[in-house]
Amino acid sequence: MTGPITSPQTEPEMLLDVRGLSKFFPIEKGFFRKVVGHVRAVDDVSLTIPEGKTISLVGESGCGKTTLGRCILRAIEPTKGQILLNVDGNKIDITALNAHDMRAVRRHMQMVFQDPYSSLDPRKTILDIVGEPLRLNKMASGDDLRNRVKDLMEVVGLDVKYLHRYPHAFSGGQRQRIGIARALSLNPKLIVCDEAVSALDVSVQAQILNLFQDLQEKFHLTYLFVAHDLSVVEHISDQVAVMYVGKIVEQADTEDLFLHPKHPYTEALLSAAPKPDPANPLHEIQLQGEIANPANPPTGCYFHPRCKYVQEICHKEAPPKIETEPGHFSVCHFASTLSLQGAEK
Amino acid sequence: MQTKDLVLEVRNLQTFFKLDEGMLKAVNDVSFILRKNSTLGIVGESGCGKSVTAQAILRIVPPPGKVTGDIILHRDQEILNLADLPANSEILRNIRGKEIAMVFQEPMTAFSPIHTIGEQITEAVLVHENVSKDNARSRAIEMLRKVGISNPEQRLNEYPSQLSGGMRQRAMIAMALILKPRVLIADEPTTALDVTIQAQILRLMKDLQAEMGMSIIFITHNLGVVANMANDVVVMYLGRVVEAGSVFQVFQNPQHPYTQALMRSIPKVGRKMRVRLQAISGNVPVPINPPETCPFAPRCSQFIKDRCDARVPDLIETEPAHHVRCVLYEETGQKTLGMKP
Repeated sequence: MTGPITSPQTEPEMLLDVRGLSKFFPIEKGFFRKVVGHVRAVDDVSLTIPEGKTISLVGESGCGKTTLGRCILRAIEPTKGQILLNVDGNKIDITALNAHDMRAVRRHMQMVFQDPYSSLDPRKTILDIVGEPLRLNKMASGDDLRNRVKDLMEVVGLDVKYLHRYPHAFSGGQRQRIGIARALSLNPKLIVCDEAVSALDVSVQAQILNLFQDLQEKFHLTYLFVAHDLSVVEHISDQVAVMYVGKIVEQADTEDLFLHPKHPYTEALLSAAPKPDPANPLHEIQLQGEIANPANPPTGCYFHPRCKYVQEICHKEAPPKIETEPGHFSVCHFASTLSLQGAEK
Repeated sequence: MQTKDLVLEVRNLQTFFKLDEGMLKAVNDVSFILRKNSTLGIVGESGCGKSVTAQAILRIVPPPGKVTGDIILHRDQEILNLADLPANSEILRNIRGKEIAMVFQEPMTAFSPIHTIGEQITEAVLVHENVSKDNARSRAIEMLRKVGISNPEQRLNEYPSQLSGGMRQRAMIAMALILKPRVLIADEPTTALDVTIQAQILRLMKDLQAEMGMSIIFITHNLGVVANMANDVVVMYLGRVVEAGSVFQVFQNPQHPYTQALMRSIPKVGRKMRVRLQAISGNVPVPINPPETCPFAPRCSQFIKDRCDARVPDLIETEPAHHVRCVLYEETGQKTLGMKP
């Protein structure tokens, strides 16, 4: 373990500090599995998450948002970069931990998955599923375990009489509550929610979003929300980071990002979200072509082949990260000069 | 409305599955009309019967499903009740694909993985029309170009796995539209796609509708998508139509407590954030042996004892062409049996 680094006192306290994180997946070819290239799924990403806040990662499929979420938990080993987790004032670089130390730290970081059908073991009861982290970490057993699981079920709004039922007896929304109860069992600080409400029906999705908010207030949780539904993201997040081909292209406070986007890709994403109002039809910005190939990204700005504001420089030079106003970052050559259309109020 | 505007008329459609657990009433007394050149959106959550409705229209409901009611296809000179025909009859097989085509949610499963895109699209032509292979091939190329696939001559020789999700969905639409069907049934065609690709596909469907003059039944759970695509909307819950009307009536003046609650429960872009959503309590039920009451009664915030749980409310016309199945409107509205144009 690297020595604890004392953190400077800033408000609010940073829970997670990701520095220059990358994850490259090798592309292998032929009999000898020669590495012929790399898919740059996450490419030099830096991100800080303040304690008790919700940060969302948005972007199209293949942009690396799920990989980033998993790298942060070291569910996937990052290729390079640092992940500093604040545990009671000590900043621990979790990328440097061995498996044993990592297990102790992982208590603080849990995950809720997208599909409540495939993420729960069908042969285990709710008691087994929710109690497993407690049992494995030797934090409870016997009656104590049963009572802790019952408490957790109450917290997430499940009836305790279902303690010995199997997942198949529950609806999608209830299963997602089981997954949340399991994630909460070790009193984590950070929960990574990977598309945690995408598979749910609209009426149930609202219940789960409310539950996430209630739990955050109650346990002072920090969320990293990986999502593609912009209306959900706007609702739940304090800050939003937009990813494109492995990089964060824009990051800002939610309202600022939605109303005053500073990156053409964010503008295009916002314009493509259909609104439930027939009097306000889509006027989406037509993006040319498809998302760039992260194994062979374009030169210069990765977004330039699809960007309607493209200039000469965008073909050649990778854009710098520009802070257009305090806390609002955009990786675009023209971040401070472009006047972009945000979401309508 | 004159009958010559009608393309498809569904009356009292029922699709029941007799299961060991009981009778699964997937579609229960559903009526609607589809007008020429217009789009009907069918909205609802999982298990509401929207997809089975589409299968019932094409008569491709898997066993033990049983379809009853009327599915009336209006042709230029004649009308045809699809519900009266045997499911494997020659007439129906000719109608499927040629007059009524379908686009599915997951184009990866709808295409055969071991045949090229070209083979599958040309096969659709060769089955229905007596033309040469070369002719079918050139029409496939033309259609692929129309749906915005670049370099169609080469794409024709590729397998579905070689195309991206958005491209596969375009190819699927090309296959559905190559015979110029009068009705296109699109079952969650953009649900698996990213928003930017979704916007492209929605735009494409609108453009093709304007160009080719077809009617679309658009099935989705996404209220934003349906608001953008539909002229008329049918809201389904637990196998029944609970509200129907023009898209403006349903979205700007939702009347059924379920529709109202659904509208309130979605987070909207641009709305003040950090307010709690007004969720609907309870879960979406499974329609096995559903009670003969208002389907939404157990979750409804305006539940009235001895009325909502007494019987299934009638479909009531509260304003011209706007129908609601709720006891709250029984005094004020006009009772309608089925849905008449």
